Amino acid sequence: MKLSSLIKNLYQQIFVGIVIERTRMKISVQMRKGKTVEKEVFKEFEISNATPSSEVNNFIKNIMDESPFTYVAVLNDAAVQGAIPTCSMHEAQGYSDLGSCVTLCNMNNWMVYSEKSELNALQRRFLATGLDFIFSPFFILSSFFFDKIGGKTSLYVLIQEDALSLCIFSAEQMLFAMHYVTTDAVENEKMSEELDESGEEGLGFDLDDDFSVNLDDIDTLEELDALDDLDTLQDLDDLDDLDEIEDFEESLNEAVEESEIALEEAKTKYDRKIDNFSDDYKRFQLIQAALHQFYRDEKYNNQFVEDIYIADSCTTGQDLGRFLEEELFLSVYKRSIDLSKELLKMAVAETKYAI
Amino acid sequence: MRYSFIKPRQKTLIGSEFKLLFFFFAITIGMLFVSYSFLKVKSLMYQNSVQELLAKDQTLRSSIVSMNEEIAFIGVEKLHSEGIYTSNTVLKESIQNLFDLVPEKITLSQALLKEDELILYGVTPSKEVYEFLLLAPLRSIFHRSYTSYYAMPNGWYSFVSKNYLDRESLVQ
Repeated sequence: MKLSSLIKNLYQQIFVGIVIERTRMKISVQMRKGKTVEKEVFKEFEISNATPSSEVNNFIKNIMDESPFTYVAVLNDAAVQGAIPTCSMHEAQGYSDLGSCVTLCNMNNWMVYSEKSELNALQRRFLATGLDFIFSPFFILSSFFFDKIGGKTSLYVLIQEDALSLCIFSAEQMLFAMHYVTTDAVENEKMSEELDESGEEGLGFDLDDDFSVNLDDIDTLEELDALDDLDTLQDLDDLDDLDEIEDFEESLNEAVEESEIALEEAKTKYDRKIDNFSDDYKRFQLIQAALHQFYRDEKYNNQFVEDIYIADSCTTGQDLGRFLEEELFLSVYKRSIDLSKELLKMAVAETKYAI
Repeated sequence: MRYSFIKPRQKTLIGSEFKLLFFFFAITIGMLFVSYSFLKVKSLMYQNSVQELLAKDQTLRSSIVSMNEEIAFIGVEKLHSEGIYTSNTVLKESIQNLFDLVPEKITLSQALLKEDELILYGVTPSKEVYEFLLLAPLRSIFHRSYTSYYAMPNGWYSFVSKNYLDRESLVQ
């Protein structure tokens, strides 16, 4: 047994998996001794602008203080990244300009790439704690569907809150891959334009039925009955009854406040549903666009995709599956994925290359 | 096969604070070790010098002893030389006295002076001259005097005078 392995078995190894979203940061922590998992922790933090807050940094630093063998892994959130179905740099130039990218070859079969400046920016964002691993979502996707990619030509999609990675495998051979950032403003605009043109007709469902806000659900509005008390104003004979007026004002204000809160809650509830629908549709549009590109481009051999495997990290609605089945005639298989835990698995496997 | 775009940072068992602490400890231990070594070397040097001094002391003591012996020997020699000098002086004076004793008429041809005896060979014009002028003083000095005369053709006498001092008489 090597000395380093012996030391690692004696010491606790801590793996920290970080998934960055625009406003949230999901962190999974796994504490291991040898091959035994001693403890697992999951924590979610509110952040802004995809940058770790001081709370996040303190949390990670506290974990790092517990063991010298702490490995911090993060999922690459770069906008310019992807995968190419070859490991030859010469052939890869036909797919994308990799001049300013870092590439990693997988099984001498396909490669992932990411813009170097974005990787540096990501490392700068975590300057306070430092990073040990930056993993591509395509590696996560391929390892997550490792048991499926050996079969017939299928589309594999990793859905994140702010991004979507998809690739097409046929008998373990990658044919096509794309990565989209779904919160991109330009993309949003484009998507909304397309939605205006063909969205509702093409989908063939009625928004009013499914997603309209039913005001009957707002029970608390009944509290506005307090307005009926206005009738009592007629009973005021003189100005001596001003106390009653003040009481009435107070009860009226309370009723208005309560109704406002009820309205806000109802709005939030239905807004989320509408947003979810909107996100699902955006994702559907992206998948449709990617498939269209795959079928249209001759270099992808025009193979027909029958199945789609979705690794869902953000609990998408039923609509995405329905869109894909009805519009693209795909058989949809969806699995939930905990990205931070997948990062941990990959980090554990990767530590054999660690010093 | 590697999956990460970056290499993991090198992990060390000790953090930067511990490194700093160990550095200061190492400096302190180093200084202690240097001080200890310095004192050890100084102690060894001191011990060596003590040994050397002890050896030197021993040498000097032995040389003092030999010098004392030498001094004693020189003292003895000095005494001896003084004795010799004294005896020589005495002898010189004795010889001087002896020659003073010899009158002008008597001629000595040989004189043998020993510790307790004096033998004189000479020529005298007559036995009386010898007896009155030389034998009388000799008898006053020596305890025993014996004289033999031999007549010479010219009428003179050659004589041999043997004079002895008795030790017992001198001690008394």
